[in-house]
Amino acid sequence: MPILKIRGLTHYFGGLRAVHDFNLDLEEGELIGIIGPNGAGKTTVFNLITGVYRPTAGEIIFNGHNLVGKRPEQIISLGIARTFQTLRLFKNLTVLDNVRIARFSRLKYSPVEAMFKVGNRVRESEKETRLKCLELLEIMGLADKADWLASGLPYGLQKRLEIARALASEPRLLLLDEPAAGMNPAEISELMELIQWIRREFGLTIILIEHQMKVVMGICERIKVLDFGETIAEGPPAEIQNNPRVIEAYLGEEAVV
Amino acid sequence: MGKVKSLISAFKERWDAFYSSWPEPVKRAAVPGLVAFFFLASIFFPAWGIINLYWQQVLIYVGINIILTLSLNLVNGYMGEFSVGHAGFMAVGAYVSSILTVWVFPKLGLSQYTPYLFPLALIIGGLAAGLTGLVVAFPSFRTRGDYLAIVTLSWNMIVKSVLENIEAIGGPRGFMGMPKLTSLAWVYVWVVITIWLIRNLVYSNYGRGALSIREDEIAASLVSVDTRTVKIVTFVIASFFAGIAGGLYAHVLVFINPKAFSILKSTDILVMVYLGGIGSIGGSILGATVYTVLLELLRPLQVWRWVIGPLLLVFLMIFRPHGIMGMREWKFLMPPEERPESWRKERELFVLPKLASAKANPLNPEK
Repeated sequence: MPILKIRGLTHYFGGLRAVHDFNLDLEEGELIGIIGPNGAGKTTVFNLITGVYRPTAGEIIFNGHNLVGKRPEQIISLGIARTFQTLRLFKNLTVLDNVRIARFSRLKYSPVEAMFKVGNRVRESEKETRLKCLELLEIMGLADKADWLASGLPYGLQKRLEIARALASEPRLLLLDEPAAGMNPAEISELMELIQWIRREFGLTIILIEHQMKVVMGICERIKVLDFGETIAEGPPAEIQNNPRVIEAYLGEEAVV
Repeated sequence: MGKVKSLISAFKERWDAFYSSWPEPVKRAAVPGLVAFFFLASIFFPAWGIINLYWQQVLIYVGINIILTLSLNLVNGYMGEFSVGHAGFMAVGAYVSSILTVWVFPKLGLSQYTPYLFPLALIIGGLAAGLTGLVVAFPSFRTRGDYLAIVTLSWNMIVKSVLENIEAIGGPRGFMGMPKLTSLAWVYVWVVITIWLIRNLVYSNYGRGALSIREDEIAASLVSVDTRTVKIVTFVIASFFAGIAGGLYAHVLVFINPKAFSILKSTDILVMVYLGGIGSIGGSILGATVYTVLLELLRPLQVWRWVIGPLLLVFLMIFRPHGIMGMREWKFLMPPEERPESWRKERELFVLPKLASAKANPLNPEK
């Protein structure tokens, strides 16, 4: 049974059709890429999966739960995490706090208990959260900057912090929205290794939106190509690279000749 | 300005050096010791006449204002929403607790126990304020944006008009007859309780949920923060403490009238929050203290003090837009386990040994 099943997903912004009849069967452990020119509706698909927008039509089934109509925090708590195309870190909070907040749905106490610090429940839950997140920061090479403000980190580390924050909620499905944007070639190679490593280590299923063909072609097993909201091609990287419709969408008609 | 800054940093350096020379037990006992010392002082200094009646009164107002500022800071500073009707909740607490001490307790034949029942009256007043907070928060947090400001503004006006029109509690003439139960010691105890509770909240992961709403609400919900519940709960908690402050206020003045809880009072609290700095307990304490004492000291200027005070605020906003200590905190107000040095210790004690045996990863290839 696929972990994520999307059928006929369609979304309109007013009269603009952003996504039309998007279908997807994602098996546990897969790593697939979504590519397409700017404005093709890639990020909209992520926003529909995570409940930021409510789809005009279609259904999204994750792990047996229907996601349509659920609020973002409910969807995230089911085991989905995402990063953002433009960084959306909590800039005035410390690196550690950024990561800790992602464990909000795993809180084991009520706010009143938190205020009175009754018994050991709050203390233990807090310590567990802190250690888990420090460990994650260590893995991501951010541990020595745990007390820095997120805004004080250089761009590359902010990107890494976003991935760390996404991992903190212990997701099964990770949605990466242009993780390589703004990175230099060396950083991109490192990122590719990192994505494959976290996928193995955390047992993740990953959907990747990316413009860097090196990344998509290098690590994705399957690629979907969107153009103006329509799925125009789907298949393994080698096939996609030679698909005339894809080349047309990217380079225009003349290039086909 | 630069000179002041270098003086402050020089002082800080010296203090840090001095502090780190203390033995560990002294360090640990320092804060509780100070809290206990001030508690004794709040009982004995007035009794021995070291603090005269006038300054006792001023200090009581300072304490009440600290509670008000800190609770509003929870909503406006930590959570980044904009509530402007805090005095409305204060009024609910003030009237409910006064009704208890003036009518209910004597009717139950508990007159002679009233001083001991005072905390109970305050808590019931606080709970009543919290309940009204729930009624206000529930609809106004269903939508995003500035609705909270509009709703709380009207809420403040509604409370005032309702109180003015209920003859039984004096209407516009006000309500009186409560015993003078608020002493410096009581106010001090409630200030300490408020600081402790709010500190525990904002340094828990629940409180961090509120902080994330200030930073980026959509991102917060996309990292699993239940933003709607967090907003409502935080608002109710803030209303509760406003109610407590109202009860204390009523029992120091022994007379309350609806006018005391107008928009002007709410504005005062807002000013103290932004003067002290958002998202800071230390800032709330400083803001409330500086503003209250300053207005007291400027009393000889009569009407002119309403010129000097706002002028100072204008200068503050120009030279220090984040308030006295916006989003910063005194270390001694943070729970010990939340200080960066304890994170470093935990990293060395627990995290590094655990990961030493783990496999290499692309970011630490040297392992």
